[in-house]
Amino acid sequence: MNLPNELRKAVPPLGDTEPRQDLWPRMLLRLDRAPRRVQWLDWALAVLLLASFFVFPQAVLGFFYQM
Amino acid sequence: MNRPYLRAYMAGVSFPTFFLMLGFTVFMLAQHRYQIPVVIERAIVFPLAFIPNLWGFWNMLHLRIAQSHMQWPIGAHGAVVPLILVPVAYAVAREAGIVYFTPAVFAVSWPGLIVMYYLVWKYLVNFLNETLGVA
Repeated sequence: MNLPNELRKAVPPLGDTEPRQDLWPRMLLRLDRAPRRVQWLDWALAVLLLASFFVFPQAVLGFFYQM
Repeated sequence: MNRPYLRAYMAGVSFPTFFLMLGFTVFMLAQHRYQIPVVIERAIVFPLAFIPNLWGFWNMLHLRIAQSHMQWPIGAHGAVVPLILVPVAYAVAREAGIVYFTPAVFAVSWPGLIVMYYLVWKYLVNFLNETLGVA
């Protein structure tokens, strides 16, 4: 039994695997979209999070362990 | 574009994989500069192997929920992760014999982790999902 031949028989060729259109212009359009505005509450949460590292320094490693 | 679940997985794993570089640096500093008793080769396995995959699968789950036309914000979806993650992380740390990670360390880091996951999922993972066309 010739294994490579058997494999070729069992798995048909994929045929045309190229995308139907160029995807790069669409990717550029997505990247050029206006960035999302960060809400004030989210800024406040981020500041609180940073402040908590100074209040509870022992939690920093536990935090990095789970990110 | 096809294969949306594969793209959702890739968008999900991107941030924790990138963040690992920072995490690894923090663990190195903790061990070698500040002599904190964390055995790095034991501690790094969990964030290296488990967390990126969890994020990938969690993002696939979010795509599945979005496709079923349920209104479920991605920030809230991300904020749920620590509820699952923290008990698993504690169990792994305990089995690995990492004595530094006591229940108190996990309890203190839990609220911050929920906030961090909420923000990262709301902005970064959502941005990656939009970029890859799975938002």
